[in-house]
Amino acid sequence: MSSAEENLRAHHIVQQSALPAAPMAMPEQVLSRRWRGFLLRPFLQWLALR
Amino acid sequence: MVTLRRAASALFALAMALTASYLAIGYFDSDGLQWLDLARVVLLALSTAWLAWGAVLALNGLFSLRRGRVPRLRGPITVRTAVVVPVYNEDPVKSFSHVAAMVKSIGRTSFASQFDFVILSDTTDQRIAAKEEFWLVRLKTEVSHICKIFYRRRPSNPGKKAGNIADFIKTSGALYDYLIILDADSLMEGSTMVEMVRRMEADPQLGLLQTLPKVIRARSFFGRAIQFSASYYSPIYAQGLALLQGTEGPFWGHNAITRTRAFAQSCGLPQLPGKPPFGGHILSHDFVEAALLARNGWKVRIDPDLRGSFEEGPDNVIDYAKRDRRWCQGNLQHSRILPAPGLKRWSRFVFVQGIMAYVSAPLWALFLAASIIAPAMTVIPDYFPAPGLPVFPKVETANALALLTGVVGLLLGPKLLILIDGMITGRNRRFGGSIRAFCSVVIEIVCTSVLAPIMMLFQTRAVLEILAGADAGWPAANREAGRVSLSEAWAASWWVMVVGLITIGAAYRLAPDYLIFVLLVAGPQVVAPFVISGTSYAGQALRRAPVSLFVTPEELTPSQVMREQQNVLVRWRADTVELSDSIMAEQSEDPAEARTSR
Repeated sequence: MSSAEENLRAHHIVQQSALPAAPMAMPEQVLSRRWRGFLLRPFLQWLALR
Repeated sequence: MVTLRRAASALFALAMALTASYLAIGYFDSDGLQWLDLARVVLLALSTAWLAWGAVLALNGLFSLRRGRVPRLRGPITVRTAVVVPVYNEDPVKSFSHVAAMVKSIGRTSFASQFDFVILSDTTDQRIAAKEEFWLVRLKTEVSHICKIFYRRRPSNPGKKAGNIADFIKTSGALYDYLIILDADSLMEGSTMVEMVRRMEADPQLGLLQTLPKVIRARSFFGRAIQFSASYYSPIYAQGLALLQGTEGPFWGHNAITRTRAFAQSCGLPQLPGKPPFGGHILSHDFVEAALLARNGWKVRIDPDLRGSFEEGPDNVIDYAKRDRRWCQGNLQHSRILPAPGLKRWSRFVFVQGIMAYVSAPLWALFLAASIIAPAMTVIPDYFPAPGLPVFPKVETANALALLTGVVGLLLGPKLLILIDGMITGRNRRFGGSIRAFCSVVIEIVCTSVLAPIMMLFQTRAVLEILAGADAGWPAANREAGRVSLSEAWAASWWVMVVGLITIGAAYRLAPDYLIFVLLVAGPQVVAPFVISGTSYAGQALRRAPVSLFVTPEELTPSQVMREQQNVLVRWRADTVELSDSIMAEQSEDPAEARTSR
C-alpha cells in the first residue's frame, strides 16, 4: 500500500470512529439553597399585609 | 444495622476525642490553664476525632463478618455497555495500550459484542491530538474486530472530566444501559466488567457500583510504599467503609460502573456561582455525583471483593503533592455544596470528611505551634498559696504519656491489627509471607512517619492558598514522571526546610523540654529535599533486597490484562522508536524538505 493510500485509510478509520448520535437529556441539578428568599419571605409577607 | 454501626463508630471517635481532651486538660493544668491551652485542647480534640475515625474504618473492616455473595444476574447479558476512557493531554501510546489490553481481555469473555470502547479526548495540545489519531488507527487495526472503538475530541474542554462525560451522555448516552467510567491509566479485566454488569442487572435500584482499584506499576521507593499500602491496608478500610455507608457509597471518578439513565437524570452538574477556587466548575465532581445519585433514590455501592481493577499512582512526593493540591481545592469547594437541598445526611458527612482530610493538616500544625508557644506564656506558679510550707505544682506526666500512647495507637494500631489479621487468616501469603509483610509494614510506618510532617506542610500551604483565593487549575496528570533530582526537590521544598528550622529554633528557645518531640516532626522537614529526592529512586532495588519489600499480589502474579498491556506497550514503544528513527533518517536524507516541513 502506498503512503497516500495509507493516509487515506487512516483518515477513513478516524472518520469512522465518530460517536453515533443517540442523545439523552441530562438536566442541571439544583445545588444551591435559596437562603435569602427563605429569610426574607416572612418579612415580605408582613410587608405585603401592610 | 447501618445506622447502629454509624452511631457506634461516631461514638468511638467522640469518646477518643473526649479522652484526649481530658488527658490534655489534666496535663496542661499542672502549670495553670491559659487561654492558649484551651485552644490546644480544642485543636487536639478535632485532630484526635479525625484520627479515631480513620481507625474506626479499619476496625469495622477487621471485625466484621465477611459479606455473603452479592446478588448477580446469571445467564446471557443482553444490555449494552460503553467503556468510557477520558483522556487529557496524556501519552496516547500508553493510554491506548491500556484500551487495547482491555479490549483483548473482554474478547476472552463471551460478551464482547455487548461492550463498546469510547475514547473521549479533551486534549488541548495539538501535537498530542495528532498522535492520538495516529495511535487510534493502530489500536483499531489491532483490536476493532473484537469490539467497536469510538473516538471523539472536543475542541475545548468546558466542565473538565465531568463535562467530557456529560457531553458524551448528551450525544450518545441513549445507546447504552451502562457506562464503565475509567481514567487514562485505568486497567480492568474483561471478566470484572462482565461481573459488574451482572451485579447492576441484579439490582434495578443500583445507580453506581464502585470497585477498589489496586495501584500497580510503581517504580520508586515512594510509589512502591503507596502501592503496598493500597494493596495491603485499603481493602480492609474499604470493607469498613462499605459497612458504614450502606447504599450511600462513594464514587471515586473512575473504575466504576453507572446506570446511564440514573447518571443522566441525577448528575448534570451546574457551575457554582463566583470564581475559582470556590466557584466555577466543580473539581471533585465524583463525590458530588455520588451524593446526587443518592439524593434521587439510587443506590451507590462499593464492592471491595471485585478484583481485576487497577490504576497507577504518583511515583514521587512532588507529583503526589500536586495531585493533593487539586483534590484539596475540590474538597474545600464542597463546603459550597454542603447545604444543597435534599442531600442524605451521610452524603453531607462524606463532604465533611473530605474537607477534614485536608483541614486536619493545618489543625495539627496549629496545635504544634501552640504547644511550642504555650510554655513561654506560663505564669510563675504560686508556691505559697497559704502561709506555711510551699506547695509545688503536680506535673501530670502520666497524662502526657497516656495521650502520646493513645495518638500513636490510633495511628499505628489499625496497621498492626491488619498485619496480625493477615497472619491469622493467611492473607500475608499473598504478600510474600508474614516475615516480608511484617518488614514491609515496619518500613512503611517509618516511611509514613518521615513523610507525614512534610505532607502536613504541603497540605497546610494548599489550604491557605485556597482560602486566599488561589486556583490550582487542572494540569494533566504526570503518569510517567520518574526520579526527582536533588535540585528539583530543593526547588519544591526549600520552604519546608525553612519552616522546620524555624520550628526547631522556636522550640529550643521557648519550649526546650519538648525539643525531642518537636524534632520528630521538624526533623524530617529539615531534610525534606533529601527525603523527596531519595524516595523517588531505588524502587526496584527493594525487590532485589534479601527480604524483598513492599511486595504485592499484583506484582507476584500479574493478572492477564496487566501482562497484555505491558506486551502491547513494549511493542508499540519499539515501533515509536523505529518511526522516530525513520523520520530522522528521512529528514537527514532530504534536509531541504525537512526545513520546509517545519
